[in-house]
Amino acid sequence: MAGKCLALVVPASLAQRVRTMLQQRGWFNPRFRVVRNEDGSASIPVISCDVSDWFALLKEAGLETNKTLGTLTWRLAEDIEFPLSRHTPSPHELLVKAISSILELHKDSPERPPDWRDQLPRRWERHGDLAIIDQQAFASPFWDSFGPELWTAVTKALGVRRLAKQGRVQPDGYRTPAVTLLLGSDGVVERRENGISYTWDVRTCMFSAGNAHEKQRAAMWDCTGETVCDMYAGIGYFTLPVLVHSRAKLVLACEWNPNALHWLSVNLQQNGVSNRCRILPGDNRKAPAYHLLLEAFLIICIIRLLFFSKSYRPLDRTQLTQAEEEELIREWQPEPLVPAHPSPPYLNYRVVSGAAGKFVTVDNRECLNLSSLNFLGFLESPRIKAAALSSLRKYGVGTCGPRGFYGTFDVHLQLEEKLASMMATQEAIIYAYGPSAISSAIPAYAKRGDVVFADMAVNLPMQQGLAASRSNVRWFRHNDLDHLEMLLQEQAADDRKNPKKARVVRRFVVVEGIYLNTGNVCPLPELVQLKYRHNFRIFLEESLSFGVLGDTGRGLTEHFGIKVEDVDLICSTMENSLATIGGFCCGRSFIIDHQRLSGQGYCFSASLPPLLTSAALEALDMIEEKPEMFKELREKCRLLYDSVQGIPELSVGGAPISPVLHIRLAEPSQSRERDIATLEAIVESCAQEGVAITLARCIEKDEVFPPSPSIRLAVNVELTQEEIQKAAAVLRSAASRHLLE
Amino acid sequence: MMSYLCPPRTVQQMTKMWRNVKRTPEEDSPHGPYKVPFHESFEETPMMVAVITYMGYGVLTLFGYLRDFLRSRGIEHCHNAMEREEQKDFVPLYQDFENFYTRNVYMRLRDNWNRPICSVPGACFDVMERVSDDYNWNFRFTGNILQGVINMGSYNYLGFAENKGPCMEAAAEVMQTYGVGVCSTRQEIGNLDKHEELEELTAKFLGVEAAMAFGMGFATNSMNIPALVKKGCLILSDELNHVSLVLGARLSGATIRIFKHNNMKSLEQLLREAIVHGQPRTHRPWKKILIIVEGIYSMEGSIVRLPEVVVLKRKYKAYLYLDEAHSIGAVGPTGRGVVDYFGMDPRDVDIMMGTFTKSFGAAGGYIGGSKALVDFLRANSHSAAYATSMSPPVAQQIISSMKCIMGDDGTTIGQDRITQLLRNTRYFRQRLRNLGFVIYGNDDSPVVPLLIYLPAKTGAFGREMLKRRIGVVVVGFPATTIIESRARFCVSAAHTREMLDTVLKEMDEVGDLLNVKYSRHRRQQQLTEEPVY
Repeated sequence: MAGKCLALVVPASLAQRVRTMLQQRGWFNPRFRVVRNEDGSASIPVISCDVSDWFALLKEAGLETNKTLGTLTWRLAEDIEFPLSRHTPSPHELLVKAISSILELHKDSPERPPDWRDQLPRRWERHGDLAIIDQQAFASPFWDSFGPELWTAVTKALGVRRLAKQGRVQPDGYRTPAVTLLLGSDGVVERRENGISYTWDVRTCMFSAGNAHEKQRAAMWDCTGETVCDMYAGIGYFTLPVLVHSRAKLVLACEWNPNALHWLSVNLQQNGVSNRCRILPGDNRKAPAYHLLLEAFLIICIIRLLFFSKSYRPLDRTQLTQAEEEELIREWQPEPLVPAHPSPPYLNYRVVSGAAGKFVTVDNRECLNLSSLNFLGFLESPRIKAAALSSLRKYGVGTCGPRGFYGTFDVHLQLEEKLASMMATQEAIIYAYGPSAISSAIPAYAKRGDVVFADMAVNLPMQQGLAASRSNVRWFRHNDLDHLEMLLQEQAADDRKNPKKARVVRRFVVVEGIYLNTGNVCPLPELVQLKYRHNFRIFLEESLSFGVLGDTGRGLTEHFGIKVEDVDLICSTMENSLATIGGFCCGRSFIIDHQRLSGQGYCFSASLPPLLTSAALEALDMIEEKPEMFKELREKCRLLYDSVQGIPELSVGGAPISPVLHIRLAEPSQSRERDIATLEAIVESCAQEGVAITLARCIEKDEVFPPSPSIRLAVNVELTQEEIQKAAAVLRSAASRHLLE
Repeated sequence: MMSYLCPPRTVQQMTKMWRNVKRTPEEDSPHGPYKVPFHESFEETPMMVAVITYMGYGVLTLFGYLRDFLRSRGIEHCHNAMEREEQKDFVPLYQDFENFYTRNVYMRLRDNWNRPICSVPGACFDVMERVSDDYNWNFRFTGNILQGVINMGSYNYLGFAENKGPCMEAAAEVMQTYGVGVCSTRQEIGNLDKHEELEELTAKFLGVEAAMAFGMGFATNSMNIPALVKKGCLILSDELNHVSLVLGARLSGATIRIFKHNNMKSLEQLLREAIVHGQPRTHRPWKKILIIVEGIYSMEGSIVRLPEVVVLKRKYKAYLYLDEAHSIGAVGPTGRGVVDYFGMDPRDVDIMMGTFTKSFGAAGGYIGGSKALVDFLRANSHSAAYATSMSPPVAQQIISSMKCIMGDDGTTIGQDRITQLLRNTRYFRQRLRNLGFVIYGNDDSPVVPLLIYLPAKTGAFGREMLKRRIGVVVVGFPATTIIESRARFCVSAAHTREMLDTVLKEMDEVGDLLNVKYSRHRRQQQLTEEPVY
């Protein structure tokens, strides 16, 4: 199509700018299009007007006019042939035109609203040959009188055949659209989008064309082999792209609008994917009856499992027949109860005849005794014997019962009171056996889950107590409080991670006053400082320090001048200094009283024989009456310590104030047995020269950290200076004989 | 107290007499592996009593909570010992609920336990009177001594708890020579000749190759079981075994399985299962299986079914640990414990353990068995390496009393006491049953539990009996099951018939007063059984 028109010819490079300026002034003829000429100019269709106006315009565009025509940068040309502009009247323009013509026909209708143009539809949706106009269009009742004539005009203008009018979407669960069909017989429409055909009835189902991008995005997911659930499937809005393009294995489509369901199945069939979609119609929140039954059945099963079944035992066992069982039983050979030939070195005990006092008759040879832990020489004290004898004449020997069942004698109460007052604690409790005091006390407090920090050198009864407590035991190096502090800090770090647990985990530190296994003294003051920094409780075992250390023999706390309350529990045997039998614990009533029901060795054992109790009472009296013996004892300890220094090939372990010293091989061999044999030979030599000493015995396999073999020397306050020096000399010569060969 | 005026008899005569006491003609039929009739009764708890007992605990618990609430608000004075002020921010030493029972139940009955005495615990003893001004939180001695209280609580089965006589004199003499303590261990320099003498005698007494003595009965179990079994071994333990056995088993690291009390089916089933399936998870065979039983169970009065246990032990090649704490001296025609009672060979039992606390009136424990076993223990027992050895006078008391029982002292005193104990036991048990009490255990067991069930009545029974100058032991939860609170009598050879009759007369009254004659067999038994003494 072409037509003729006045043209303004300008250089092609300026054509665009000029055309814009012309359009602004309304001089551009919109019916035609700009034509590019072969000579590099362009012809712009213009509406004819006064020439003088051109000058102003073209000057503004930067084109000169006073040049010869040959060099003219622009000219006007009449009747140039132009192609027609692509512009076609918009549907709205057509609509206005069509309605105007109808209104022309019905000029006589008086009620024509003055704003009739505004009531024409502004937006409409087109689905195939059906248009849905918006709700506000033709709102006035004025239009009603026209009937189909009007609607036909509208359809023509919009280029469709059917017409419907949008209403408000109903607020029901189905979001039913309120669409009224104005022209046409039905509302079924089809739409193709991304290669998928959607069919639905506009009167009953929604379709939002604006979501095309979202659908495209869904179509791009790779769902190969997957099962997809479309919770609100509608007519297959997303179900179809996922099935067609994403290649899902199966789509579960939930929908409850029956109309949508109808079209969903139609769409699935039309797109040939109905075999890969399972429709779950109806309200899927509502459980069907069979579901309720299933749930009830499961609940019954759970109840049965919880309350009516025997304890759960995994069936990992194969059922054996009776004959097979019998054969297994026949074949089983247990290990012997004890090894047929035990080979420990201490099978043959040395036999002591008579009392093992300052002098002792070992295997019929009288020796000076440096092996009994009879530090105060009370074993032979006539005073103690007399007290015990009068007790024996009153009470007999045994108690024939535990403390709870008539095994509490008045002397027990007296002894407990005496111990408590002597140790300046609130309460004391006595046990019938030395080792059972500490090994019952520890598990009375420390339970599973608690943390006990223990010195690596603690004696075996303490280790047994720790084992019985089932607590978490952290071992720190012997007397190494830096190591202890490190462990405490580790614990503190753990506590910070788990503060809830930290609130219930009790912390204990168990130490010995003087270590039986090493003879070293526990650095109590530093430990007490640590205690208040890290909030742990101290259990102190004083078997070697009670009746030894301190100016009046009260033990380690007195030695260091520490308040007794700073130590939570002090425990000791009465079998060393006091030279009787049994043990005791003392401390605050808050702590000690608990053992009266929880200390196993206290509750479930016969109580201490009264004669032994009376002996302990008498021994305590003697300690109180003659405190100077402790000074003497310390001097003797120091003397022994000095005397045994410098023996070739032997090293001395233990503190100068300790009543026990450990003599070890300076260079132990690889074999424990050989070391024991060497030391044993020294002991035997000493015995031949009239000095009874002994190896510190231990059962290596049961010790957590077996101490290296040693000879344990013990001081008795009654030993004279000469006797101690003699004993040291005998040891020295025996050692040199055996070690320097 | 006791007269031993019977003419001397030989052991054979005594054995015959002892057998005659217990055998009636119609019971002469075979008793399976048993050579003697074995009758034990555990009368079922009446349903009504069980319900009332549970309700009783319910009331106690409710009041406990109420009073705990009052204490926490400071309305009721709290007698509990308190934590140090400086250590208030430490992790609490006790969980509050741990002591709920102690605070609210035990405290109400506490006066029944730990009653101090101030005399020899013989047939009668002197109890120090004490009163509490604050509902048992604290006790105050009045200074009065309740003299001549009949002692039905001490384990003085053969009456060797004496403060005069040859045993005491011998002990006194030894004490003069040896002193009271030892100050060293057996392995170091505490192995006295007295200990060796004691062990030799014990072995002879038990009829085993060798024996070893230890300073404490409790520790004999807890420190020696770990030496015998270890990880990879299995311990089959009776559910009512003593705490010391349980502790020893735990410390050993062996796997522990529990069989029903004296129930051989349960034991056999465990044995079979153990051998057939081996250790859990790995299914390796067990290294050893150790069956641990007691001779007489101190809370039930039952005697172990030893013949059946031995049959099982042999069949399944297990080892047997027999704790004769309460039975040694107390049963058997010659007082050698349950092995003797059933007329069996002591070598059938691998580990014969017992205590010297009870029948011997001393302290300590022993283990007897093969020489290999004892040698092994001498080298490996914790007691031998770490514990001070037994006090010499105590050892002497055991030696003297054991010799007396064996007749080695040239008298029949020991044998007479054994017979006397059996007579007392049967008489006392029969009379109690006839009075309508529920009595547990074996007819021949000197441990006589009398079921009271209700905790409140338990306390009242103990107090009421003490008022009548009879000292009895009452026990409740947790030493028994929750509803089976009971009183326990330990019959002694030192009890005379007059004493027992006094006790029975008072008990008849107290039983009516407290309404604790629960037995439903009462009427028919009264008609058929005539008590014999």
